[in-house]
Amino acid sequence: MDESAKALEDLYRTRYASFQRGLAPIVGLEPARDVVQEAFARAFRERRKYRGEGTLEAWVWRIAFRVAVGSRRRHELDLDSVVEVGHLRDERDPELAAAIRALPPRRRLIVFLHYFADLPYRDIAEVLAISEGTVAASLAQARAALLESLVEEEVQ
Amino acid sequence: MTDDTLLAERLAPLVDAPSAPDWGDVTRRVRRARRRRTLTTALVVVGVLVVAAPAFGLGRYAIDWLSADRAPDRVQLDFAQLGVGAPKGMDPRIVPNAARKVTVVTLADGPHTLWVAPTKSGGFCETWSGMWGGCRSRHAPAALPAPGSQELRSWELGMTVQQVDGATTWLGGSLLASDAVRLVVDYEDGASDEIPFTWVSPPIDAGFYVYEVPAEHRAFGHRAAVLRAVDANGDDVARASIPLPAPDELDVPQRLPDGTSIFLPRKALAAKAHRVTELTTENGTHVAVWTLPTTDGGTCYVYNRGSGCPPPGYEQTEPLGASLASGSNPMLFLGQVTPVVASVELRYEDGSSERIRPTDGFVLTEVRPAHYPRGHRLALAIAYDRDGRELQRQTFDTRSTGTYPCEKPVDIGKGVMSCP
Repeated sequence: MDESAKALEDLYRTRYASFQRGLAPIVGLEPARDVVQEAFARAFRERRKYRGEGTLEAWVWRIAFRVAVGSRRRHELDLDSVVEVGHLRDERDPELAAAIRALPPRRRLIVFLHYFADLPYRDIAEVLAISEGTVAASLAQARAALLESLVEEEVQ
Repeated sequence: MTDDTLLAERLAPLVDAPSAPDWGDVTRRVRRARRRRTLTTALVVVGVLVVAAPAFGLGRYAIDWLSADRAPDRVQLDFAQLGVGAPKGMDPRIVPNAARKVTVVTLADGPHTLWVAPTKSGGFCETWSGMWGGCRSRHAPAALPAPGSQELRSWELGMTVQQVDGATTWLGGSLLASDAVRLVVDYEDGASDEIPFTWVSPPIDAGFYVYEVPAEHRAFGHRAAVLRAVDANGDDVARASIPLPAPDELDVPQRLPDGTSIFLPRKALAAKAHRVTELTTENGTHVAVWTLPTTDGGTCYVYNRGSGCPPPGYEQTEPLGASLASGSNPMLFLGQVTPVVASVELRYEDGSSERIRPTDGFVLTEVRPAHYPRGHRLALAIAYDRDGRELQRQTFDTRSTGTYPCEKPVDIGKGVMSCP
């Protein structure tokens, strides 16, 4: 096996759970598994296209989003459309789930990538093609909104 | 407990626990896709033999341009956009409303439609849906043999290849040699295959092909090596060599001494990388240029926005060879200079200038955000020797769109959004 294939296998074995958790709120848990499997299969087939610009994980995340929206072409990827549908276990925390749904789509996606997929700011910035500063600002705003919903819940 | 930790704990139950990973399933999916691709290639070839009558030879099929379906509006728009923002002199001058559908080929990843549009200069542009596109002129570069000469007309055989692990997986392109009746791919092991191609009548007057290389010819020693166009007498009329990278030229993940992970050719010795120069840009990005020795005696270089490995023995002829790493913040000016260059002056449109000194043959600086707007851009780089004598001037296009970053891209024509 060549080294790029090994790097992908290592990434899969160490980060599979994060990929599935990050995608689960968007497509559902079981479909997320299929998206992750297909994304890594596609990344494996196309691994020579990865030129080291950004991390390997961010590159695979972009492929995963393309798989999730059923697009084969990079320029067709509209990340805002990725998070129109949310699959959360609302019954476990209805207020928080509602607060997440109320976030703007892009900000909601950043929350998913940070809290469910455990992606660092740098990787989120690469996946979404925005600056780390924008990631930080978006997360701060999302965090404030979500915490506010928790405070309101406690007050009630 | 911090707010972040609190939030993380509250969010966690909103998603169920993930299932177990299964790498075997991933590899099975990879193999299934490869089998589908091989099978589909065979089916496509059979299908073409059934529905199209050969016009000249076994693999040449003729299409009457005027009988071909007209392209829908969205395809015409795609063609119209090809010319938008092209640098001066490089606009292909497409006639988008004359575009037509030439053929559909199904490869492993699905069907691909070939659309062709003529250009005002007598050439044409082609796009294969979901694959690639490009434009061709009928005027051969002056340095190449003229059409009709006895020399092989490489110019008349256009080729685009996709390579995986150093082997070509598919190739496609267009053919201007009107006397070609067969297109043949030769493999490293001496075997050959014929590639069907579709010849489109005037005003296009060119052939088009796409070919998925069989699985057995994607291994070293068996790879696709040469593409030939053959006339009715069996003589080669045009020939193109297919790149055959050696195993040590294939990119593999490597790690620089500072921990940066990057794909570089196997022959580049990342552990022996030397940091030549570095800087921190206005937005806080750390930029470093590294050089790396290679196992064949050459030197590679790598920096944040690219890398290169000139062949061993390569010697730079011009005193200065520089480029702009553009399109996003930070914009970087990176150049390689010969030993005679003592400094390089950058002159901007607004009259300001700066002078930078080479380090181990490299000049690196940031083109700061103050120079992004028109009227302030980098216009000229001048190399000087140690006595202040001018050695070379290199100009930069300040008017092309998409080179300099901006806050908000604008419509530069036909719906194409770009920084002006």
